[in-house]
Amino acid sequence: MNSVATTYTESLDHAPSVNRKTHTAKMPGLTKSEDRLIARLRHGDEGAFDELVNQHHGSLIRVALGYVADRDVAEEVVQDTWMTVIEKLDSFEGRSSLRTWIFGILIHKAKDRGVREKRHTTFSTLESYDDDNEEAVDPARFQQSGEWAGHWAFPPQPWDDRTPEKLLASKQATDCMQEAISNLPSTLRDVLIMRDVEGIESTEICELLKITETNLYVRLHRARERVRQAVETYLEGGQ
Amino acid sequence: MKDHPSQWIVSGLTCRSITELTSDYLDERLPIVRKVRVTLHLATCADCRAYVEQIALVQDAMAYLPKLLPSPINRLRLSQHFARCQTPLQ
Repeated sequence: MNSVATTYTESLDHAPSVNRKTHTAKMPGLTKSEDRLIARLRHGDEGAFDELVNQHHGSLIRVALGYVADRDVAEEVVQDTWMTVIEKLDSFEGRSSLRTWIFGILIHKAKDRGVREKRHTTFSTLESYDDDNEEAVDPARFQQSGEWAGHWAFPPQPWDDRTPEKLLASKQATDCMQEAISNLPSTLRDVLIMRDVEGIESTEICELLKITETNLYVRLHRARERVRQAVETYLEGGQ
Repeated sequence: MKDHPSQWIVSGLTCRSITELTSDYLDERLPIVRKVRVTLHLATCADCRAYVEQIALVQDAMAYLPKLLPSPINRLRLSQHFARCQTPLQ
């Protein structure tokens, strides 16, 4: 809380000059809905800002948790991110989507904070991820030799009549998925949240994270598989 | 086609290969020939169909994660800062 208050105070001390850009043309990186949202924001529409926060806050927290030690610190980093978004809104030129811009600010701040905190010791999040090695599914689940080498030895059991809504209707299943996501190294978590939760275009994620599209999809699949494994374990455990 | 290991040879892909290709398949990133081979394999392999369905379900479930929102005090601070910085255009 204190650091949030400090951040807020710092923001007051460095209040940006009001430099109102006239928003006339659609910015190239924006969707139509983002273009309208930007216009509303620049007209001081607080409801628009509330919408923006409601839409992205959860994903920002989840990504931040990949870089910092705990939820409280993640909340501080995200709060600081929103403050910067407010202050820099006039200078946003729309070369990328609005949410990509916001996530870029967040990742920069989260990395800085993670380094400064030096308390980010969770093995899973410090785990360096090698894109080239390690298959998504444990090779032991496949037949290793013989006529059917490479085919399932221990196949997945069908999740009968499962929809996302039904799956997440169970608190245990939801907790299981959230825990699996929180245990992902940041290299996998970032792409999962940005691609599957936020729907950010792969080209923008690649630019943001400085990775190739091949890397992106390797990481994305690894992340999805780890979450799938967690759900599989939960369902087979009958919890 | 029946689900039978003897049919897998038609696609030329093992189940192990299919698991590595699943996200690319679901996200429409495979070249057409490979996509056809994956489809052929899935047509004859219930286990891989289950796997692909589960990955798709995980992908879709991401959108249904519980919303996380700022605390009331943080939201108030944001609103105040926004009001201060975003003077409506005249």
